[in-house]
Amino acid sequence: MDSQDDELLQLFLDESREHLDGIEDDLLTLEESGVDIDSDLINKVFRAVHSIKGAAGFFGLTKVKELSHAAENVFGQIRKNELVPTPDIVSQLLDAMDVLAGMINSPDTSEDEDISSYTDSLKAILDGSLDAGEKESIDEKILIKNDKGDTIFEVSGFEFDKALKSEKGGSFYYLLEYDLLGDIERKGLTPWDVISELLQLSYFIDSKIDMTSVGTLENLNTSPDIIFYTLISTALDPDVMNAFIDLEKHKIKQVLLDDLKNSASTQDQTETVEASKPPVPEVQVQEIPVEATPAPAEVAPVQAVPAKKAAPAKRKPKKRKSAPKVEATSVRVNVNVLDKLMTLAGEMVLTRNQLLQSVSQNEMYLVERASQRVDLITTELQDAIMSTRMQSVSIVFNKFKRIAHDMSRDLGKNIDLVLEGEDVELDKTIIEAIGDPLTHLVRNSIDHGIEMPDKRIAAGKNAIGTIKLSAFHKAGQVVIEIIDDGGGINVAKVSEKALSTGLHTKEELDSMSRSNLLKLILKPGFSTAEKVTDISGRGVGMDVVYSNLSSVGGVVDISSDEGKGTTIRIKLPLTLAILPSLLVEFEDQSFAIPQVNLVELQRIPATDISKRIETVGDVTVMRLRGELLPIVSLKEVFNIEETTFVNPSNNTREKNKRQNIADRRNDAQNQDTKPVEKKARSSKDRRYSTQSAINIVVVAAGDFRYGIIVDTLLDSAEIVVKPLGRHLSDCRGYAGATILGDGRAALILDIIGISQLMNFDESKDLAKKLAEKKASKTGKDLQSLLLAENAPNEVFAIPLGLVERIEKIHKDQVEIIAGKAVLRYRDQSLMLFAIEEVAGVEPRADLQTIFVIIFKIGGREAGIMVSKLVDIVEIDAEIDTLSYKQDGILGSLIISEKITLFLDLHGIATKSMPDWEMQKAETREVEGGESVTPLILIVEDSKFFLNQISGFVSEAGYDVLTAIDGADALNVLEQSEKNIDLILTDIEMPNLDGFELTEKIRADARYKDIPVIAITSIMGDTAVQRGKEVGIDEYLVKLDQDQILERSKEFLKNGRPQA
Amino acid sequence: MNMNIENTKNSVIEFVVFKLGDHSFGVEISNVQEINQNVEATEVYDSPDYVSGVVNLRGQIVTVINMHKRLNIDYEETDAQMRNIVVESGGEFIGLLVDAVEDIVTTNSSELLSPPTTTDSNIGKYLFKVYKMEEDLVGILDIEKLLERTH
Repeated sequence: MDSQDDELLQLFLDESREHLDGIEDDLLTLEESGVDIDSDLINKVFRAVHSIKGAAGFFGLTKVKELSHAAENVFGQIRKNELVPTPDIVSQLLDAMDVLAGMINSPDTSEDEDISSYTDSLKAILDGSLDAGEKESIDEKILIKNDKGDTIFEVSGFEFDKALKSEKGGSFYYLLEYDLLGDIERKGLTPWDVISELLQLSYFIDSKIDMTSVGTLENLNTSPDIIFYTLISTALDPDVMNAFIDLEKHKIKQVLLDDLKNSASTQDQTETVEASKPPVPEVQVQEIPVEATPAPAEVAPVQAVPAKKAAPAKRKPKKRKSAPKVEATSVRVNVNVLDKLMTLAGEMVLTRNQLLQSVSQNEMYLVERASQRVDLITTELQDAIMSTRMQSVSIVFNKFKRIAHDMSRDLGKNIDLVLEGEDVELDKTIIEAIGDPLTHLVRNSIDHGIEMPDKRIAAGKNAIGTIKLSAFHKAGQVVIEIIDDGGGINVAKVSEKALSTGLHTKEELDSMSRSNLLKLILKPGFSTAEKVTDISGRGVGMDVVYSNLSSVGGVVDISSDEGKGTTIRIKLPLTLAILPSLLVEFEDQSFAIPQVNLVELQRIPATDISKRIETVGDVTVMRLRGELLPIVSLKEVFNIEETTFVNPSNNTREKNKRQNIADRRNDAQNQDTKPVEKKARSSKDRRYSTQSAINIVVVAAGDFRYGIIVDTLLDSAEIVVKPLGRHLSDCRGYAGATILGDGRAALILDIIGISQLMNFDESKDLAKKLAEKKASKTGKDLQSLLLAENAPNEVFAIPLGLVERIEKIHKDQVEIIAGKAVLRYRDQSLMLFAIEEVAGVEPRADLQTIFVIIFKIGGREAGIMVSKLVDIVEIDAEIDTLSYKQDGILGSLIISEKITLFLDLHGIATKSMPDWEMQKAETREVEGGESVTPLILIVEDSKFFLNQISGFVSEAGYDVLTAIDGADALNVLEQSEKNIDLILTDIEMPNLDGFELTEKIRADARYKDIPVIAITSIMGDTAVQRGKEVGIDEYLVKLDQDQILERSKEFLKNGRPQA
Repeated sequence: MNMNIENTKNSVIEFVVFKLGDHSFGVEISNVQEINQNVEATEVYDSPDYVSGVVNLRGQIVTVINMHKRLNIDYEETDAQMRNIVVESGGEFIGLLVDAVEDIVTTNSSELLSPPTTTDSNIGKYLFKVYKMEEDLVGILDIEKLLERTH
């Protein structure tokens, strides 16, 4: 077939697909209605199959024709109310329709399809519905021949009867011969036009394209025609037939078969048939009108071919071949929309002319006006074009009726599928992409979610399980929900599985929220876990569902109540092609961030940066309304080695010296390692200019949020998404590219991709980060305090530096052994202390979960129990050591206008476990019991810490001198009568800081061998580096009593390590 | 040198000759969509190092390949002669950033020689023929191989 025919074939296939699309649904409705058949519905189904049959003949798709024919017969019987569509019949029809759809989707192989089992079973159904006479008529074959005596069609009498009684049919039968070339193409028609026309006014009995007349040598010259034969039945009598059919008269032949029938078939024709038949003398194919050009060909004498009675076909075991998927390449467009597009295109042309004219006239106001119009028209045009791509989700939803029908039958479950919001529209590409994932989810719900009826009844539920599938608009997105009232997901099993497959550690799992635990089933590792499927229901292939949906910007959310059911919520963008986005600038380059991922924009003034941004482990976090959000700079995402910034003083771009966004004052310390920076920077050099504020775009990847640091926020714009080339397909940070107003290409950030690149894991929540906080890199002299609640509203502060980690446990895990609370933990037992046992405070709130703050004391670990973690703060507030001082409490301070008690971990431990204290005392005996009591100088500007440190140091038996800053320390060194054996110094101090002090000490021959230990609130790598350079021997955390004493002892014994 | 003269087909072949440093290369003209001035490409961070960026070619995003880096030929500052040869490969347009476009040569395919085995393998693996043009040897590139995705 040539290309035009290809086009026609395509048209036919498209149309057929459309017919078949709805059929499944209609059949299921028919099944439901049983005896009370909706005649409109069955007519629709009948017509659909009938048109497929009609056109299939033309394309030589005989198998398609046969099958649709067989189905049509059955539908015919249903239509006549002679057959009740029982579930069994409907199932078989559905199967046949599946095969039909399959053949239509792959027309090239349709001829090889073995459809006999389907046609046989349909025929058996048909047979069962027929009375004796009709059965006879089915087996009787009437041969219709053309002028040359070739048999064109072999039709059963039943067909003629059916035609007669059908909607468009009538008592006249015609054989039409279309010459494909002369009658169709030369008239500017397509076969399709002809077929549709015929379908309008008649009933198609059969059609065929006669290829035999083409190839033979003899008639090569005379008759190169390709003849398209159709056998139709109509109510139009021969006189008017000409008026309707645009065909030469001799090509319209009336088929007179009455006598033929009478003589051939058994006599019990139904009355009506008999009566309606015109009395025609001869069995002939006659030409109309009477013009006697070529002699009327004789119609085959009726041969009632003995029927090979089809064995009442048993339905073959179902091999449900799913129809090959075909992506629709054409779209049907409403004529109104098309008209609108035309109008808009016209408008566009007019406006362009205006624009060109006004530009040439150099009239700015005219240009402005025209460009406004362009703006308007473009928007409208865009909407109109987009609307042609929009399709309703019913396309996807409707197939679930069938799935529910089939699966509930196979599984023996009772399922009520409720569909809602089927008219919600989505872009074609999205509709196509969500089909499979949704099918998977629905199947999962039916298969694993809904329980067997007896189990449901036992659980006090309705025996019929309900699955609700609904689509609705929400916040510019479409939400699809799959809600079942089944067994729900067993979260415990899920986490068990996650643990056993090594996906997560126990700690991670314990700290995860319920919704995050549920989401684990979307992880790839889970898909292979058969066990989860058996027990709790979900898991197979869910990762595929997840990734498929993600690929079209969908976001999946799961919630489940064990025993009550599961809800899966999918958020989808309306369209993919045009993306409302925020344009941002980084390193002088524009990037687009899709609006759907956008949560909010945050501008953090330079003065607030230290308060709001900090580094936890290797993640920088931002404080946003009490929540810690990880933030990234695109520099980190894309491993950009050197970044620049706009120097606010001269507005030029300079190389950035910051290693880390939270690095501020530490810049000065980098100078030696970074040759770029020549001049020393004083602390006044901090960028306290408005321009050094940080812009953070808070984005959401699913319901996980994080911040992206950008240089500049530009504008929001609707961008057109263009794919990236194959060389860039491995770059996970980009969702594509777009073209900006100035014609430059810009990249679109893939928010989900970036979160994966950065290994942001939703399960790493606050508690874990807090534990990691120890390794913080900032070097400020601020105290990082972990705030926790014991009794409601009573807040305690613990220096973060002392916290080893935090565990979240269930209260039942706490064992009481010999009056002491103990947590069994990694084959060890961990001593747990309650604050209220030592200090006079309210007892801990009785909650299910307990947070255990683990710290080290005397070389072992112990935990303090609290009911709730509140926050981490970095403050520099003065600690009041008078008002609240008592056992276990060092003092109080005001944080966020609330009184916060500063916990004395060491005190609590020693009070609770006096034995431990005894051991400590012994060791100290040795330290202090040297012949000469060592003298330690403690340099610390905070009175609170000075007291604390000198307190425990002297308590350990050392002599102590104190100084309040570096300058003071030098004085003390100078004036001390005794030799100072060790210096403990703070770093951040007025007048002379710890670094400078150490430099001076090392420069002085008298002191250069004194070990110097820095005691700080938080250690940063850069600070440690700097410290090493100036000659600090060790870094320790303030208030880490154990460590300070132990290391001091070490240094006192061995002196400074010789460099 | 081991140069076997190809003696299969005697068809006319046309190719664009361009410079990369001191080397001359050619791409068959049937692969070439157009030759543009070098415009500033949008840098794509985290991309393979031979990708110099993406540019907009009448509404299509074109990946620009830095041929110096692709073929491991030392890079020297060049002047405004730089050109972007846009070729079609695998259904997409890809730009080849070269130092200068020299000539378009029409010759008989029998004039083409097999690449000498002694060629630097970094370059040699992308050559499918060599053409002797006056004093210069022009390496005709196998576009598909050249543009294969590598890591």
